[in-house]
Amino acid sequence: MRAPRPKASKGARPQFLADTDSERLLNMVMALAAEVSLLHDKFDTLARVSGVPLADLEAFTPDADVRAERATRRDEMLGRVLRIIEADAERAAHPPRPYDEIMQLVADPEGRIS
Amino acid sequence: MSLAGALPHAVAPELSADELGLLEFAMAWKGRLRGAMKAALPAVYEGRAAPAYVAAHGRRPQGWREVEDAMAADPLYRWWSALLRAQQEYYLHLTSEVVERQLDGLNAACAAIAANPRYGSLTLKPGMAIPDYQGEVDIHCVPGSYFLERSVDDVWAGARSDLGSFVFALGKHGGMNEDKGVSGAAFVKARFPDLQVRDILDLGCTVGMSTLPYCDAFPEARVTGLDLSGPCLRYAHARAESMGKAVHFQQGNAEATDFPDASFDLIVSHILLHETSAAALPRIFAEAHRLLRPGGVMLHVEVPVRKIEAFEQFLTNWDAQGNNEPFWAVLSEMDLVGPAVAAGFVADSVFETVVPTSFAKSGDWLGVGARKAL
Repeated sequence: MRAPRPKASKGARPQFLADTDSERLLNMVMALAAEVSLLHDKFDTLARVSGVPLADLEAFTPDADVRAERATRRDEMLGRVLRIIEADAERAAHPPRPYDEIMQLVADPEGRIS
Repeated sequence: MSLAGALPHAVAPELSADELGLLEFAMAWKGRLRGAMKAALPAVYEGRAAPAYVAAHGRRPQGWREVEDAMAADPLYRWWSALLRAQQEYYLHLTSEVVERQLDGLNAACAAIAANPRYGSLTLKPGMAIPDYQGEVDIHCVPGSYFLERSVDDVWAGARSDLGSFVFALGKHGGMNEDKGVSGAAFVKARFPDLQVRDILDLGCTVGMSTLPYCDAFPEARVTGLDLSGPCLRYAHARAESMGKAVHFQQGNAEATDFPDASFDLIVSHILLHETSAAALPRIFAEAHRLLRPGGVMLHVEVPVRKIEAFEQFLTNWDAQGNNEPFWAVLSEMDLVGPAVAAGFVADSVFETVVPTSFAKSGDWLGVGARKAL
């Protein structure tokens, strides 16, 4: 079993919107927009490939295996939508070094922090 | 499946239909951020941010930092920035997941190629120290950066960087992300037509996206790629072998390498300097001088960080904090002639000029370098 990758990048995250909650929501909304976009792609694929009437598609009852596959996909989607919150949680556990310290570090000819 | 035109080589990560759809969305998202929103920022600055600054301070903003102060509260700038940072983190997450799910296969494929190399070589130095300017910040906001290594055959960071670079550039740096190398090699040939090139060193080569073009431009030369990251070099080696390119990849630090004096005729780097530091850059110049033969050329192909207008400089420097590239803004104002002369180059040989792009990149590259005295 491989160790999980970190979710948050090192380096304190800048905030551009007036409050952090709005910025978080923006990230989530855009991730959801991607999922909606993808659904349109998939409907288009379905219509072009299958030729199956929409009513037949809606009458389909998934069995346990199909439900399990869908649960996995749903969880992966949640990982994308909730990424920023999960990254924040990781930063809370391992607070990043203040960014101005890193700026000093890389700007100083001796590589030191004053 | 793959993004249109992307990464035509045998060890590239593959995409499912869903991954393709999501990455295409992420690229379309970034494309929009380069459109009307960004185009409106200069007008926003002149129309409301600068006047507000004048009202508060009695004068116009001077220099890019004061422009930043003036723009920091502007709603359009804040939303544009928030969307740009969100897009960056989003596509990084996607590309990270794409590579993760097929990592066992990618590791095995790269290891199989490395076990029987036909063209170049791979020399790793496990346990190499990562300098602070790379270790203290994940450049480009990639969680795990270039150095995440969870097995002895790990290529995750390299494969992700290859795919991610194509997405980041929206495909405009070529299908193999080769623009910087193709452009750098063309620049060297045009500017130094008398240069006899037998040995080439590419510093900070990552996955070799800029290294391989030198094999084509100088087919008689021996090409060496140096990088700090083992996972990137493992992938780079397999990638180059799969393309039939002879590159000798070696793990090392560009500030102090193991190569003997006067080993190379041409030493290049591509978007390396802005990921280093004020302490490291002079050492990289000095090491290049040591490694060059008399008459040899050093060329660093960089992002065009030097701007004349303060507002343009402010927009260019967005990446310094917005995209976790802390040295970017320092480099934009740093004297580079002094470090080159201190490294041993004659001042007259030091140049800083435009390196024209060979692909569809918006704007050109910055070329910084010097020629070692005969």
